[in-house]
Amino acid sequence: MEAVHHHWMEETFLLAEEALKLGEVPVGCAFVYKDQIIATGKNEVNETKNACRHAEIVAIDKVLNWCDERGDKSEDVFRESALYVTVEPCIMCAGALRQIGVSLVVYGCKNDRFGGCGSIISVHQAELPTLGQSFHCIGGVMTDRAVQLLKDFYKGENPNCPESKRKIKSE
Amino acid sequence: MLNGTNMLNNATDVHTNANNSSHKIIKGDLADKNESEPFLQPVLDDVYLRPVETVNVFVCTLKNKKDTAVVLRKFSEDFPLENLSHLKRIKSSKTKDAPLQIIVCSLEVADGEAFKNLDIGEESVLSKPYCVSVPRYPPLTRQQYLEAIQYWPVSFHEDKHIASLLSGNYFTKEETCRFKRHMMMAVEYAKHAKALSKEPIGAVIVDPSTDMVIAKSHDDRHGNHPLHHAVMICIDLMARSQGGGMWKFGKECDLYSVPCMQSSKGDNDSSLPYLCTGYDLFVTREPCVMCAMALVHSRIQRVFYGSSSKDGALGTKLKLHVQSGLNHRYQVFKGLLEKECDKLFENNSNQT
Repeated sequence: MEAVHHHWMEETFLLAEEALKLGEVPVGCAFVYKDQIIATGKNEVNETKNACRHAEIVAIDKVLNWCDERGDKSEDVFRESALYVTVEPCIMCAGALRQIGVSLVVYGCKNDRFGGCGSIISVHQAELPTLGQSFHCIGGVMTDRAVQLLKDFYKGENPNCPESKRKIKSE
Repeated sequence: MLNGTNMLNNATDVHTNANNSSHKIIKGDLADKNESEPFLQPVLDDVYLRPVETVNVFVCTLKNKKDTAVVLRKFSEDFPLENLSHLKRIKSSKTKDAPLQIIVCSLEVADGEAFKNLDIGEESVLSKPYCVSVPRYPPLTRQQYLEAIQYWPVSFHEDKHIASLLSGNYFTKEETCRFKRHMMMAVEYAKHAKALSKEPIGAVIVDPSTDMVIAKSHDDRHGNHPLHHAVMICIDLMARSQGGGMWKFGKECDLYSVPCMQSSKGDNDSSLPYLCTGYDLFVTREPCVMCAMALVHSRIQRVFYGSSSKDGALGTKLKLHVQSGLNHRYQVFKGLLEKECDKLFENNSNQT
């Protein structure tokens, strides 16, 4: 099982690295359905000037399109899909993932800032029936690589943030 | 010498001299005052709203007033109150022959060695120690203060901002009128959605510095996209107004955002708005956890909503806007045009 997770996680890291090159927070993800990747996503917040454009939301849009083209019901596809993502989904994305009804999420490192699958709150398991089914999480797959990517990013600055809001670095 | 064993035997003798009647009077008073004009309720962090929690401490009765200074100095040195620094050390008592009560220390400290070695000179100066319930936390609001002093005297530094929020007079009449006008627009959008058999929820983003509407939307989650909640759409239309945006919306959707506010100086122009910084959101129903977090990411300044929702994340199930650990917080007010907003869900079977 572990090897399977690594296989799909490898793919998500390629997307995260792409995001880093574009000056976005390096997070990548992939929806795996019936043993194949049907949609991928990387962070596109700066590109779209929408702070909600996280990798997971991008990929959800793509799955919906994929289902639309094939005439499949998206609920059925999401239910049988697993999401692989380099970083623990944030609170918003965890909420989104419950609403689309995904059953399994596999992630790399914890998200200390915004994590919605245990780090800040546990949206994935919380008693929120109107949000949809809770989902299962497997964390800590290839953690070091995910952490290193984030470290590389936070060494730089968010180019979209106005001058006045940038943190003055003490180093 | 104080006898440690005796103290522990007395530990179950908890004095509960507080009553909640003052609590009720204050509440009733507030309700009466606002019956004519229902005011916008601030959704505050639970620390401002919780009833007074108590913790047990050891207290002695001081038999003679003239010993106060000596005992006080001794106790302050040997048993600093540390986490209980909001407590006054001494409480005046009405009993004639026992004029003063003094806190010795908390129960945890009493277990330590230092307590056993306590020597305050003549034994007759103090009564045998006994256990008393005192407020665990410093009071943050006047209501908590009034409740706290039923147990034990405490110091209170009123937070003027919080007090103003709780007073019901935080906003001027003019401001309230403006808010109602914006919420009315959100209600109109919600009605439009209802007419299209969509979830009857509307949202409007406003720049309060100019009173300009930046974006408005209604819910469309049962259409082609389960994440098209009114708030998510509104945020994306805001992004579109800044030359971005992530979703394409059909022309048949009666959605709206202001024209692009792009600068000739390019994206680094600091006069350009940054996400929802400084903006207000008006939404007919309390946002879910996804939308509430989207608003954190978007740096919204204030959120006003009408109706509460079952799993709402801004007051009902969670208070995400004041969640510790997150890098942005915003103010939330509920109950704006509540009746109109509640009415939107009448005869609606799929209320979520």
